[in-house]
Parts: sequence; structure tokens; C-alpha cells
Amino acid sequence: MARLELFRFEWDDSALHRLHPLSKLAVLLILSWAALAPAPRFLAFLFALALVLLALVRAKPADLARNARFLLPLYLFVALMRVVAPGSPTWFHADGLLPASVYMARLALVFLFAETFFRSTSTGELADAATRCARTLPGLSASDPGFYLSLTMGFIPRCIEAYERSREAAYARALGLGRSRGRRAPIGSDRGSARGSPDGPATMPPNAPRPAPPSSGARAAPRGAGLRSLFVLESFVAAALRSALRSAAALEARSYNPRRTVAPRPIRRSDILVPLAFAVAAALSLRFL
Amino acid sequence: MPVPELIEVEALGHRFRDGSWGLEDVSLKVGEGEVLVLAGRNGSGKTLLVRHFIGLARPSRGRVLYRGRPVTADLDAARRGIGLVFQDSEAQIVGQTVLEDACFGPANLGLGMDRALELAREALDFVGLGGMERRRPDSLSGGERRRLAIAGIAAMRSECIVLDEPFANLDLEAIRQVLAVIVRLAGAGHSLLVLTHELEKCLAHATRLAVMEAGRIAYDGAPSGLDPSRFEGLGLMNPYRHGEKLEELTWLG
Repeated sequence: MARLELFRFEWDDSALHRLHPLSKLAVLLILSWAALAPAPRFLAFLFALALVLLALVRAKPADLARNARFLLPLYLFVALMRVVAPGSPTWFHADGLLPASVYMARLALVFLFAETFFRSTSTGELADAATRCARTLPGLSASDPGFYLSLTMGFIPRCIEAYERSREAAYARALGLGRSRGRRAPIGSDRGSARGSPDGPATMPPNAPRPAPPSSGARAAPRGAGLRSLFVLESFVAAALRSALRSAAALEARSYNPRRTVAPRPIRRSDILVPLAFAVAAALSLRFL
Repeated sequence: MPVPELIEVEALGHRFRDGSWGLEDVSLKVGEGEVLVLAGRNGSGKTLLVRHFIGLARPSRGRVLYRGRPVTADLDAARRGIGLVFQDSEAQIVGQTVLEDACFGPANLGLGMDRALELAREALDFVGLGGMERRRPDSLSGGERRRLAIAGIAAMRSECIVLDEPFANLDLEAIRQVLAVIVRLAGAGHSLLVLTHELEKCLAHATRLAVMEAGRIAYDGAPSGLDPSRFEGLGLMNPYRHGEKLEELTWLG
């Protein structure tokens, strides 16, 4: 399965990339607020706008579809909750489908706007902008809150990576055997034998006793599988902590200093006009549409 | 008045919480312009020793001096003067673009942004990553990432650069590229401390060899001075096992 690459910065020289990060953040907030509009045609307009913005930052539709796939199960769940009403005389309420779709459309819009923002804004830029702002405040001239923010943001993908590694390592050691119906063959079966199929163990000592195949096909999950899943969680937490400690040591090795030089970024007229225009347009649209 | 050594380790001891000793009575000197290869089996204490150089570990005994001053007394000076490139380059990369990352160290030194960018670009060119400034670090190959980590330290213009297992997990081509960078760094006048157990890849470029064993220095001298019969006992592959000469112990093409 292709890996999720949510909110991944891609360097480019588009108009959006050149906009001040704080202006973009303001636009993101304005558009997210506008997505609360109740009128479906206004949401449709926002979708069109999101697609234009994504085209500006050269987002590939295939990447977007891959990253947005988490919305589908969420939508199904929300729709199910709105449509099925156990205990009521009719159990099934088709009219609940529209509000569920509107909720999901809003969420999808916020996701698309956030993708646009993060594709065109590196966390470093955002960190520098936040630190520059903070340093203008009295008593904070030597602070670096932006960098702490960017470290936190950078830590999330590292955590996801650590989790993936822990999970894959556990699967390589037969966690979940028999639970994934057809995806993973049990050890000892033809598909996952010692020949080294991609699903099975690559090598096995010739005399090693092999576990018997599950007695009732793929449904027979080994006992204590839930408990062993907790070990994956434990290993993930440990890996995340190790990663945090390594990062801290690396920052010290690179002489991290809260007074670090932050790149100057003058605010241009367009950096003010663009969010202002979006704010006015959103307010008018929400008022009259 | 004699010029103090760049780095001087005096009877350094490091005791773990469980009471065992990671380093015991280690004394070592690193001079200017030296290329010191520090070898030893896994767990012999190489990485732990260099962590003391920039104050990432606290001595239980003894001390480490940088330019004659205890590292613990002037941590900033030690961290400016000694650059440590971690074995795990991933952990060392903080920027979202190659240039942003290379610029991180110089910016921490309080240099103006123009100067910081200039140093970062120079360092990237130096390690052969010129033209990749806008790439994302996670789109680089393992060897390129290792060179980016070196560039991040080289951009700080540290006098001494410590490379922890610089060849680990790299393919032949990447090893050659990293080795070429090491040779260039030495040529540029940096003192280098290369931690490795893969002597056959780089010993020809060393001006000195030190070997650690169980937290102690078991050998410290000329690269050619260690009796070949001792390598295996120290947990190292004998680099001369096929009759090689010292000058042949390089993977530089």
C-alpha cells in the first residue's frame, strides 16, 4: 500500500510559494471558516477554488486521491450514523444522507486547503515567521517559539514512520497471523513457505520445527494477538522516544541556539491584500449566498 | 607557551547507571590537521567517547579539553569547534529542503542570513550536493543524506569534524562519495576523527590509528604500527589479510 504523505512541502516558485507564510496561514483560516457555509452551491464554489489553488502549487491528482483516502471510511461512518436509526419505526432515513455529505464536504475542503498551504509553505518558513513575530514582543527577543512548533510538526511524520516500522517488524515476526484473511499466508502454507515469498519468511533453518497451520483456515488467530499488538504499541512509543532523544542530541551537536539567525522576510503589499481580499469575499459570500 | 592540542582526553571514565564502565581511563589527543581513525568492535565505547567531546555525555572521571579548556566549562566553544556527524543521519536533518538544513548550523552561530546561506551553499558544493538545494532531504539517497549531514557540520566551519561510522549501510558508490568528501575535508585542513571498524575502506588516508576495546584505548599510534595478528583479537577484520599494503587500504576509486 502506498504510504500516506500528508501535508508534504514541495519546493516551487509559484505565486503561492512566494506569498508570506503568515498571509497564507490567514487565508487558510479564512477559507476553513468559509467552509462552514450551509449552502451546497457555495461549497461547490469552494471546491472549485481549492482545485485552482492546488493546480497553482502543482499538486498531482493521484497524490491528492491517495492522501485523501482516509476521508472515505470516515464518510461511510458518518453517513451510517445519520441514515440508520435503530429503534425508530423506519430504521432507515435517506434524508440523513445530505447533511452527512455536507459535513464531509466541509472536512474535505479543509483538507484540500491545508494541503495547498503545506505544499507551498515549509515548516522552516513558518517557524521563522512565527519566531520573527514573537521576537517583536517585549521580553521575547531571544525566544524561538517557531522552531519548537516546527520540531513538533516534524515529529509527527517521524512518529508515523516509527509506528510503521514497529508494525512491519511485528508482521515480519508473524504478528496478526491468520487475521488478515488471504493477505498474509500462514507459515507452512505453500504461499508463505521458506522459499522466500514476499509474504513469507525469507529463510528458515532446515531443521527448525514449524508452527502448525491454523486449524480452521485463516480465521484462527493465535491466542494473545491483542496482547502482542500492545507490544507493537510499546515498541512504537519506545522508538518515538528514542527518536526524540536523538533529535535533541543532534540539535545540540549543531549548536542549536534560541537566538539563531532568522531569515528576514519583508511583508509586501500583496501579503496583506491577498488575505484581506479573501476575508471580504468570504464574508460577503456567507452573507448573501 | 606551547599551543594546546585541539582535543585532549585526560583519563576519562564514564560509568553507566547500572555501575558498569563504558569508558575507563581513556587518554587521547587529536592534533590539528590530523586524520585519526578510531576503530573498535561494536560496543567498545567509540561513540560514547566522542559524545563527551561536545558535552552530550558527562564524565564520571577525568575530563575532555578543547583548545586547553575543559569542554564542560565552555560548551559553546567546543560545539562550535567540534562538529559531530551522527551515524544516523536522519536524526541530524531538521530542514525541509537541503539548503534549509545546511543553513541551520550557521544560523545557530548567529551569522547574518546572507553569510549563513553562503556557507551552506559552499558546504553543499563541497560535498557534491550543489544543485540539490531545493530537494527534500527525504527524497535523497542514503549516501546523499550522509553527505548532507556532513555538509550541515562543514557549513559551521568546525575545526574538527567527527564522523561516526560514515560508511555504515551505504553501497559501494555512496561509500566512495563519502570517502572522497572525507579526503577533501582533510585536504581543506580540518582535523578529522573517523569512527569505523571498516579499516580496509579508509586506513590509507589516516595519519593515526587508535583502537578501543572494552572502553579502553588498546592501541594508539601509526596506522601501520598495529601488529596484523592483533586485529581479530580486537574485534576487527585484519585489513592486510590478502597481503594488502597500507596505501591500498582505500575504497576511493
